[in-house]
Amino acid sequence: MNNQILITRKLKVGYDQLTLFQDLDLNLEKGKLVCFMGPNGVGKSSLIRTLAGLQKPLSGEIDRLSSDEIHKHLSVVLTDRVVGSNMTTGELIATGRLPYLNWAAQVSNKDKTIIDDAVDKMRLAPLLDKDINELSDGQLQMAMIARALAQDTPVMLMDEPTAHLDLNNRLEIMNILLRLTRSMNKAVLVSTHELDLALQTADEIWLAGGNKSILTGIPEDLVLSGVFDEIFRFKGFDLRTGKVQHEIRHSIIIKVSGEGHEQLWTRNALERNGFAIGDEQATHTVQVRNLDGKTQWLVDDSQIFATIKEVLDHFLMSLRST
Amino acid sequence: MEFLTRNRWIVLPVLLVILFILNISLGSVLIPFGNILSILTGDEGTNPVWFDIVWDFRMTKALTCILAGASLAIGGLLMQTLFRNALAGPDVLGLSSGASLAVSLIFMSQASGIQFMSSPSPWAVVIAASVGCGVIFLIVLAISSRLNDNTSLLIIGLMIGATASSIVSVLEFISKAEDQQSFLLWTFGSLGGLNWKELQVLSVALVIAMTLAFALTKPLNVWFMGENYSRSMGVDTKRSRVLIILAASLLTGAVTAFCGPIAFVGLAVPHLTRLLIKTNNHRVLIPAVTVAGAALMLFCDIIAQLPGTAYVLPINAITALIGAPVVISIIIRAKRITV
Repeated sequence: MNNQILITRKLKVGYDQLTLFQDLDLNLEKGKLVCFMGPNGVGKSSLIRTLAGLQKPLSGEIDRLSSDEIHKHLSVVLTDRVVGSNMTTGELIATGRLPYLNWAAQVSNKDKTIIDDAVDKMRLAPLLDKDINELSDGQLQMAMIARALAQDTPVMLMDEPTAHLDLNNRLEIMNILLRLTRSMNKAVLVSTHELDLALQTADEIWLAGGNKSILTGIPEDLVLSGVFDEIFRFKGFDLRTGKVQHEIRHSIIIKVSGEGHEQLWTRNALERNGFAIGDEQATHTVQVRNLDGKTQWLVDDSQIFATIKEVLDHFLMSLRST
Repeated sequence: MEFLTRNRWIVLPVLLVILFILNISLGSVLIPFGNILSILTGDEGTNPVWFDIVWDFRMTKALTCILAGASLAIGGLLMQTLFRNALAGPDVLGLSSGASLAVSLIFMSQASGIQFMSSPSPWAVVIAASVGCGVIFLIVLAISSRLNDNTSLLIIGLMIGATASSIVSVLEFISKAEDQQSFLLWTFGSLGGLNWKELQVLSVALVIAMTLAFALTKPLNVWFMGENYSRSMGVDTKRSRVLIILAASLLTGAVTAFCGPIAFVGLAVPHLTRLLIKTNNHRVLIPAVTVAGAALMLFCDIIAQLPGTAYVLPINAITALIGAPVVISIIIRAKRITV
């Protein structure tokens, strides 16, 4: 396994009075995206800070295999709020080159090339001259990742880079991180609460839970083993089907047939409103069909509706009349 | 036109040169501009008295303005960056208060029964102020090495300053009126009266501290991101903090010792400079602030000496008159106070 780039041995993480993790034997590999998950307060940030050398481990070892100088080995994106005035996005990103500059902070042509490359990768070129106070949360986070990229390290550690962002930005950031592992062979560790995103993008998941330990594995194995349910104690969510469990409140069982997204969302609407979906013993049927490029909902082979809301209203109405 | 918008900093050195020439040309004695130029080129010319006025009085005062303004401005920049606080100035660590306390002891000690010096000489005041600054610096340094937190350090600095000021008040209360007056005059600040020897000492302090500040460009540039990010980029934050405090103390201490506690310049100049140059790069900011500080001090001094009259207003009143509106406008304009 010569892809390993960061290894911990019997690592113990925490503070004087409080041990958060112990006996950690973890490793990060080049070209892999690892999502680090766990409930709030379990110590994810502390472990990331420890791996980054910002906090002393209580005991154990961390082998950083690429460079003796930590800041040339790994870069970080933290949850610390960055406030600065009179600074452009370009200037913020350029600070990533700091470890390579001479005492006078002179930026060389090579530095400029690497900065430009980071800017391109994060598609930030249009924002370069913008004051960082005018950036949206998502844009600022992109800039912080670009800054870490400019630091040009084989390992990147990120503490909840998608927190407080909207779905689009969250998706984009995870996709970009995944691309970085593929195109630049980076080892990327991301702590996140985005279970769905993590399951769909991560090469490996670190799951922090009970016993001050961390479980590792590929997403699918961990899901099927049930450890997620154990640690997160989902309330009304079935991870294996990936759906929220809805309470069945009505005696009507509806058979939904048809194809495509329309069929899926019709089910969703009915389940959300407490109707059971089933084949056998179905008391009603909904057929989703496409006529002349228009979607129709045929209910009980007799009534035709043009939207899901009309279908839903129909069933809710029939409940009231019985 | 684009050249000008891109290189707005050029305004600063031009302003400095103009203000320097103005500062030397104006004063209580009217000397024609043509004669000033010939005197500056070393021509003793028509009036040897004018020659002495220009070289031994106006030139030393103008140079003092430049040195003091530059020092205070860099000190202010360093403190604002260190504390990530727009309202920090070179005196936030309580250094000026420490100097005031030491100097007040010199002037007013007779009344309290402890007599340091029978007749305070200028050098005694300088030494006392330096010692006062130095002691406060060592206290702040000792505390900062134990506390790893900038905000706590800022509050402690303010507390030390308040303590020193209140001791000064007690001394004032128990001392004689004439001793009080000489201390009061010192607190007004003074840019005149430095001889070439004293100027040399002041400029050596400035050169050392400026070199130190330049050497700290890298940590200063990322300081705004906080301790964790700075360290992740290889900055030794603990060592840098001590060196930043050392540089700022040296700058403030030297100026306070020779010119008295001059307020507001250190606070206002970094903000004025940032209005002109929008950057956080200290490689640019340090020289820009240096020039701007020198220029502002020359400007304040021109106003203080009330051209054409024999009156000289206290420099501290003028700097505050210019500084206070700047600070007020920054607070009103900025939605959030950042550095």
